[in-house]
Amino acid sequence: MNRNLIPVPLLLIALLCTSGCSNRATATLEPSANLIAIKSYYVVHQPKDTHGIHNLIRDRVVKEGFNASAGPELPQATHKADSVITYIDRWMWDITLYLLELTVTLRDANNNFPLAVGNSFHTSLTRKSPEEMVEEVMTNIFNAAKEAAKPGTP
Amino acid sequence: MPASHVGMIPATFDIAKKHPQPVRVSVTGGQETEAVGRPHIPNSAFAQALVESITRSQTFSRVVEGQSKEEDYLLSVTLFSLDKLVFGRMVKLEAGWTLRRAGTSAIVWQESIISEFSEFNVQLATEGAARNNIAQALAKISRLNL
Repeated sequence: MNRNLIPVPLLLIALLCTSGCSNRATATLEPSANLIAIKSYYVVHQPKDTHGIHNLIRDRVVKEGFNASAGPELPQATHKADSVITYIDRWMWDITLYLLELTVTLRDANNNFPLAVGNSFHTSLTRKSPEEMVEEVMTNIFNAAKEAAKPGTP
Repeated sequence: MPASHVGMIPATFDIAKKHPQPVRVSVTGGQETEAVGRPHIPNSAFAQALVESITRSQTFSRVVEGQSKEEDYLLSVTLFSLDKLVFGRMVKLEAGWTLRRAGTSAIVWQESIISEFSEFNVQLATEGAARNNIAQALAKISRLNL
């Protein structure tokens, strides 16, 4: 056997690791934000989104027990909701199209100030359906909000 | 590489007036190590850049640090998102800025500032976006009637 050749199994593992088998899911809250007090949400449809991500987010918010609706962007402070949700969805092609990254921002409906941001990133080998990505992001945000609302939490 | 505090200090400031009160700053939402979707800016580095920027621009009389309670105002910044084009050169940063009175915690000013910077090196682009964010925030704060 030629000792200068890299063993095929090691090469395969290296290729798998460098081809993007990585994922991340994070949530950030504005320190003084009280998401528990927010009862209604409006999800702004991203004009370039043709996969209905806004409806998935709305449905997930309703599942959490809040009022939620979705639609096009409206003038500030006219959403008839406590909070406005915006999102950025990034898609990638790898044999089929998949959702690479989803970033969701919860904002104060009066002044558009961000209250919380959640992010989910899954490359091809760890890809998830849009429903699963939305579930991951929103669960992280709501869990962070519940944690922040606990008595004694700084 | 994370953004360095030196690279995030603006070279010039657009300050309308200098507030004579002292301020305390706090920064959250940053990240010590690179994580997708989170600004690769350590909280400490951004805070250091902000303190230095306030000192140089004299937006406030001084920055209070440590245990003393001498501040009249509290300036808090949350680094929310950093958008980096995968194969591009532009970095976009959104930061939430809140200024409160120290005694009552009443909010006197709150605004989300989005800034961007183009540079082939991601670290330099990140520092540029942060630098622009700090410059915009201090310009707005200097125009407040406190």
